[in-house]
Amino acid sequence: METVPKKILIAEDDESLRSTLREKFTNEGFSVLVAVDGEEGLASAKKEKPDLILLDIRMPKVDGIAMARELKKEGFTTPIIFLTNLDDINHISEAIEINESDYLVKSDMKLDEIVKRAKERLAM
Amino acid sequence: MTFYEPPFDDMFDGVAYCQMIFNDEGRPVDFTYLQVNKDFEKFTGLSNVVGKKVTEIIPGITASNPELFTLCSRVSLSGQPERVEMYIASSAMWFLLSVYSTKKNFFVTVFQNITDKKRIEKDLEEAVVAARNVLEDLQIEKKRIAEAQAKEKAILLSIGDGLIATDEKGNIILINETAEKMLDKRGEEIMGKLFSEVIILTDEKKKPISHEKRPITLALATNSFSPASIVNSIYYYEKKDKTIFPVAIMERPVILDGKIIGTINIFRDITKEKEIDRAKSEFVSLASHQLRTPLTSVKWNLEMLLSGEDGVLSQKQKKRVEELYRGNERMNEMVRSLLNVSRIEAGSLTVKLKMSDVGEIMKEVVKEQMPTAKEKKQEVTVQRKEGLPKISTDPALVRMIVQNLFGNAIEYTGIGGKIICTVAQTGDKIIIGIKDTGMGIPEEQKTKIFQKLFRAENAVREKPEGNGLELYITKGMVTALSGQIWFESEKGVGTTFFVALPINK
Repeated sequence: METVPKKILIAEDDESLRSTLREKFTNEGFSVLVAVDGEEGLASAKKEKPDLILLDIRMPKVDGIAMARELKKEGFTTPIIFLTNLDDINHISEAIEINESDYLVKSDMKLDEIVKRAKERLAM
Repeated sequence: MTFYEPPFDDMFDGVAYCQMIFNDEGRPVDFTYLQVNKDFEKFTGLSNVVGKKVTEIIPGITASNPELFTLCSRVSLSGQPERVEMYIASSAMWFLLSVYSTKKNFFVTVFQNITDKKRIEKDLEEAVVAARNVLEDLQIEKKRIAEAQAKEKAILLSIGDGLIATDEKGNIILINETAEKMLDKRGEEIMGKLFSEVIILTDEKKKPISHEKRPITLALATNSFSPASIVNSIYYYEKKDKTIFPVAIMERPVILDGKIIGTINIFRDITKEKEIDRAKSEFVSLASHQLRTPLTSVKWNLEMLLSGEDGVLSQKQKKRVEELYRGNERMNEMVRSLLNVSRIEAGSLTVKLKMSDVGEIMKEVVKEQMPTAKEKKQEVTVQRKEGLPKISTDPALVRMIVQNLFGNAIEYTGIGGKIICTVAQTGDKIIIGIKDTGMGIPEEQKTKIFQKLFRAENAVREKPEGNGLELYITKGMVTALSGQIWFESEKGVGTTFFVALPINK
C-alpha cells in the first residue's frame, strides 16, 4: 500500500534556491508547493494546508515572520522551519517564538540535512 | 636780660635769645645768638654759639630755610608770637619752634626736637599708604577672582552637552542652557529641587528608573577616594511633554578635601548615534543575506551534482566538484567570520544570558568535531570536574568559542597528536582549557596572535588557507562575555588556550 506523500510548502523568493529545494524534496518523495513571496505563501498555506512549511524570512510583499504570525493568528498550526540566511539573534528569537518553529541558516546547511530536519519534524 | 635768667638754663626745651640782622634794603638776612640755654646744645648739637651769627654756625641755612628769617623778623617786628614746625635740612632735624618777642628786633625761640615724632608720623603715614595699597590690591584681586569665577561658570554653562550639578543631597544647584533646551525645562523651575524628582530617567519603554538605581544615587554613594564616572547609554530622559530621548550620561561625584560635596551630571542626546547603530546593524544583516544567497545556491547545486541525483559523475569530475564545494565552503566561512568581526566591532554582538553548563557545551562540541579529529587519528580527552556550577552566560557564544579553539587545536596538530579539553573551576571563574601537541606559536609572534588578520608564520606555511580572523573573533566573544582568554605555548611542543568565564551568582 502506497502512503500519501507529505505535502511541503517552500516559500522562497530566490529562484535558484527555490528550484533546487523543489527538486531535492521532489526527489525525496514529497509533494512540493512553492511560493515566490509571503503573500503567495499565505494564500497557498491557507488553501492547500501543507504538512510543513519551509519559510524564508526576507521576502517581498509579506516577510516570513509576518506570514507565520498571520497563520498562527488565523488558527493554522502547520509546523514551520525557518530557512534563512539572517542569523542575528533578534531574528532567530522572533522566529522561534512563533509555534516553536525551527530555525536553520541556509548557508550552514546541506540539502540532505534540511531533508532530515523536515522528516524529523514530520516524524517520518 | 636777667628776667629770663633764673629758669633759662633749666628749661626742658631749647631756648635761644637772638637779635635780627637786616640788610640795606631792610630785608632780614641773619640773626645773632645773644644767649642760649643748656638744652640748646643738647637739641642742636651746636656749641659756643653766643655772639655768633646763625649763618656762621649753620652755613647754607639762608638757602635751606629762608622762612626762618622771615618768621623771626616778622615776630621781632610785630611782637605777635608764632609757632611752626620746621625741618632744618643742614642738621637733618625737625623742630617745633615757638617765637616770641618783647622788644623790636629781638626775639626768643623756644624749640623742641620733634624729629622722632616726625619719623613716627611719617612711618604711620607710610603704613597708611601701604595699607591703602594693600586694600586696593585686594579689591583688584577680588574683582579678578569674581571675573574668573564668572568666566568659569560661563564656560561650564556653555558646554555643548547638558550639564546639571547638585549639592550633596542631590538638589539641583546648576543647570546649563543646553540641558534646559534638551529637557525643555527652565532653570528657575527646577533649581533647588531634588534632581531625582524633577528630572525623570526612564528605560527604553518609558519605565522610570528607580531612585536607588539612578546614576546620581550611585555617584553620591561612591567611595570618595575612588570617584567613578558612571556612563551608560541605555538611559532615556523625559522631556516636559513626556516624550523621551536616549542619553549617554556621565555622572561623577564632586569631591573636595575627600568629601562628596555634590554631583555633576553631563549628558548628551544620542538619538542620532542610535539611528546610525541601527542602520549599521541593518546593513550587516542585509549584507549577510545578500552574500549568502549566491553561496548557498552554489553549495546546494554542487551537492546535487555530488549526490548523483543528476547522473553519476566520473571520478575526475567528482574530484573537481568536491574541490569547488570546498572552495565555496571556505567562502562561506569567510562571510561568517566577517559578519562576526563587524558585529564585534559595531558592538552589536548580541549576548543572551542563560544559565548554562559549560562542561556540557564542551562535550557536545567535541562530539560534533570528533570525525575531523578521527580522520587525523588524534587522541581527544575531555576532563570535566563533577558538580561544576551552571553559569549565567550566552551558550551560543560559548559554543562558538569552544568550536573555534577546539577546531584550531585539530587543525594545527599533526596526525596522531593529542588534544586534552578541560573544564574546571578556579575561584569565581569557570576555566576552559584546550591543550594540543601541535606546532605551537613562535615566541616572537605570541603578542600578535589575537590581532585581526594575523597568522603565525608556521601556521601560514602549514595551512595557507586560514583567514586570520578566528582568534580575533574568539577574543571578541570572550570579552563580550566579560571573560579572559590567554595561552601557553612552546613552538614544536604544543599550545594550551585558556578561557575564564565569570560565575555570576
